[in-house]
Amino acid sequence: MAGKKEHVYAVIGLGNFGNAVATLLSEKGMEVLAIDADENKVENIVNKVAHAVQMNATNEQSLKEIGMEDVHTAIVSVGDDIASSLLICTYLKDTLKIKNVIAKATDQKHARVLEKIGVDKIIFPEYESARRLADTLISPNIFDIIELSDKHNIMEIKAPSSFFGRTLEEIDIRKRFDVNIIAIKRNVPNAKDDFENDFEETTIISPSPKEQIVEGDVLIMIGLKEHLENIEKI
Amino acid sequence: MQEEKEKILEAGSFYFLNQQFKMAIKIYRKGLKEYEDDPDILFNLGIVYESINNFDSAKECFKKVLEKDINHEQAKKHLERIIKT
Repeated sequence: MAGKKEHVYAVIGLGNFGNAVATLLSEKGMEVLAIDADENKVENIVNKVAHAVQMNATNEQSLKEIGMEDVHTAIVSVGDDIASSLLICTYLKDTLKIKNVIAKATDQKHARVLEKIGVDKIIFPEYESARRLADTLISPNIFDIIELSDKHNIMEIKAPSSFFGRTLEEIDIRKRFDVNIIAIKRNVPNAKDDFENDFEETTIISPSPKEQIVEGDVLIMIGLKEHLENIEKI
Repeated sequence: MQEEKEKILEAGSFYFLNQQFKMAIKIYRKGLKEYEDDPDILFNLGIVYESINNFDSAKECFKKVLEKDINHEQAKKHLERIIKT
């Protein structure tokens, strides 16, 4: 990667949030460098982004060697590991001079330190959770909302019954509502030999247009807030 | 297990495995008329409800299972998970 360009992103920490953001940015044509210490998480995303690297991002030298200097925006989402989050953000701002660093804070103290080391945008999970709770109480079909920017959200919504049995291609949600389905959460039924039911939770990332929606599916969608609101009304 | 009850469980599981959730629910509900508050049928019905995100109905089923059998570990696990959701 050569030169600091606005379309070059790094996502450090590939949990559910990091994975979804990296996949989405990549689908939107951005050049994404996805990083995690967990080999399985890297493998899960390797075919969806331009670069996927398994490494410990708290190692300053390693960050330099993989071309982080070229990144315009870095998103740091390393779970509850505050020490790692602070160390990574310090390297990104002070050493690598990343223009735009976005980090998740676990609490107000963590946020204050992130602010002091120059992190450009801090995401507060508590606030987000409270707001999401409020949203889900008002709209029980919405399971989760993540605010990506002032205009864009990622929303988890129970698939409406009018979608059951139809493929994504047939529903044509992108054309009808101008939003994109980035993943589907599905409970796959199974039963033991003695007919005791159970199910397995799966997530289909970047589902194919031929994917058929079944009852119980949860659709993870991204789009402009006002467009997502139209989906809620279905 | 009574032959008739086994048939109900088998049929319900068949529809559940084929993602025909409404049919599975219908079978189990019919079964409960015959075998009132049967923990095996109630548990399977709870699983169907939970899998389609009907958490209130699932919760009721698992609670009833635990009223009948306090040591039903699977029902406990699913009920706790729903409460945390």
